[in-house]
Amino acid sequence: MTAFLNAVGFGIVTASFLALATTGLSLQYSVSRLPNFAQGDIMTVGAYAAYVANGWFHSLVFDGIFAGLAGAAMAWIVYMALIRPFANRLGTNRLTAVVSTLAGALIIENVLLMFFGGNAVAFPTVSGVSNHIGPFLLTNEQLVIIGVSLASIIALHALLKFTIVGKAVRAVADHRDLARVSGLPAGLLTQLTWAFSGLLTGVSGFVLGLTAGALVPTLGFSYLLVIFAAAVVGGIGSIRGALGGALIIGVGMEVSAVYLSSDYKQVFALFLLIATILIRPTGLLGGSRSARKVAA
Amino acid sequence: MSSYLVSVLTLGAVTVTLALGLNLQYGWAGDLNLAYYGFVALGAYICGVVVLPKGNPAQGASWILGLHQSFVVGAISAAVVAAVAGLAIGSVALRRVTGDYFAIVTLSVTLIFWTFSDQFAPMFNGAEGIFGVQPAFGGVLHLSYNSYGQFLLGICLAVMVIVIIVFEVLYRSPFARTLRAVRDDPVSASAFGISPYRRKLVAFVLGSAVAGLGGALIVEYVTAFSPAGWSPVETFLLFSGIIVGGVGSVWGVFFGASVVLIGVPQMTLFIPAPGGDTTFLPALHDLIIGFIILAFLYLRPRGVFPEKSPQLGPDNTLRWQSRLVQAIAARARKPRELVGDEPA
Repeated sequence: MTAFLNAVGFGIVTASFLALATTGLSLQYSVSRLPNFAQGDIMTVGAYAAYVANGWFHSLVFDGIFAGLAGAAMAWIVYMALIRPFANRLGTNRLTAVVSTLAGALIIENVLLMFFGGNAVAFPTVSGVSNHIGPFLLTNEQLVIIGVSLASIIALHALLKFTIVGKAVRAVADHRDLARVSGLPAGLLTQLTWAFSGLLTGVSGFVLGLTAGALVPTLGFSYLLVIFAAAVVGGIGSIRGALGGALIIGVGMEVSAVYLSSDYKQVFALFLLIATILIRPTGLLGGSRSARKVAA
Repeated sequence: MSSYLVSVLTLGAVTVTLALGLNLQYGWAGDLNLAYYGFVALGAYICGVVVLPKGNPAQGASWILGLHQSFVVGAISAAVVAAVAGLAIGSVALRRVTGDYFAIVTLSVTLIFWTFSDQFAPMFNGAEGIFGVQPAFGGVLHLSYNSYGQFLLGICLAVMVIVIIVFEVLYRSPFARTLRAVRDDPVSASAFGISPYRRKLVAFVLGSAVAGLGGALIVEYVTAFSPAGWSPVETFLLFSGIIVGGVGSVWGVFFGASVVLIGVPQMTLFIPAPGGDTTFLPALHDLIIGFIILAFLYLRPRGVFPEKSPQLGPDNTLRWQSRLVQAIAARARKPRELVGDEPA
């Protein structure tokens, strides 16, 4: 029972950084209607940015800020270079943009490999003091991770719900052409959304680095399908779905690692991903209208 | 012939064969199958365990089957098993999903297979992989090391030529035409009574069989196969050959796979690595491939040798139709309009 509860607690930590990246993916999907296969590598960029920043400032707060900014820049570049040129071009289909993000993932991963080498670099870890929170045993660091993730997502939700920019972004996501004829700068808002999604993804990569303790250039790509799993299980395109999906996948992975082998924990996420796509592509938690349209 | 040239040509022939099989799925049927290299690996494993004798667990060699058959039996069973796996996966995945969701499902499938082949030792010896595959026809021919290399090159080239001829003939067949129709406009195709699902499934199974056959050639050439030797990313490298050569075009893919997948790795061999860094050159290689894909998607998305679009001959029939078809068409001649590329 203790092992189970510990796994659930650790799953919640996994879920909290998954939730950030998944929310980023959902944001991207809601405005561009394309899965971004470079999302995992944006995480890696965030993690390495935090590693570099840590060498300069020795402060976890600065690390996080730096990771977010690097992620935002990277996501903006991914959108401008890999998505936008192919999104509405005649004669190219949706798959062209998918292939271009895959090429982008290959490029980002190998640029990092050339700069930082293939050997794992040690990431700053905070020596954890364990606390009993309810039935769970969590370190201070893990509590901060959960707190930062929750706060970011609540802030994002408030931003989308209550500010004029958020309203405009939602309008673009809902119906791009209608938003444009109403005078909204749809292109600019899409760029902004991508940069914002990158902010979340970069921070998520930083947190992933914190929990993993060491960085390799393939770290993010190995989590790509786990992020897709969380997004699809929750219903791609909705923030609440991303949160729920991340919780299901994160806790499920860690609990399955207790009862099976930890080598198979990604396999659990992948099976859930495949099953959801095949049986209920709108996601277990309903999902957005757009997802229903696209996945039909 | 120098053994260097022999090894490059052997790998080239196998790579072209693999790229042609993927081109059938991606270029003709329009399915972004990211599991393709999983089928190659399955073929390699199956051929290996059919050719190899029973593994001795005491020597760290445990695998299923161990039939100790000849290479021909191994290659055929590799193609058949890969095709059956393609049928199983395709019949579920193609029925339910298309486009980007199909890409996600297939990438998941190949990652699951990779994890099992790495972790589940009794099947294909886990992370150690299968090893010690004997030379093909070794019991009959007794060739020296060098001449065996040339003999294997001959086998690989023969397989490549056969696959090219089959695909060239297939390209002009009604099956491939309906397949391209399904790719370009599934709704119109179904309105004409063509089932997109069935066409795509046939293409998927055929492509998987070619992948399995290519995998058999790989395991025969390398004599070993392990999870460290392949990764799901390899599929994507094959895509680069298809995109550069021309999506859907047989000779384009032949050109693209030879130039990008054989030429670029050989060129990077001549670049000195700074400070003897062993990860630098592979990283540079993949980086160049990534940029080549992007450059072609931007500037020449249809590739160097684009797929021929059907052209009307002087008598309003498709140019590559046989005389019989032309005669039938002439009898029932009606003004015909080409369906344009305009998206609905």
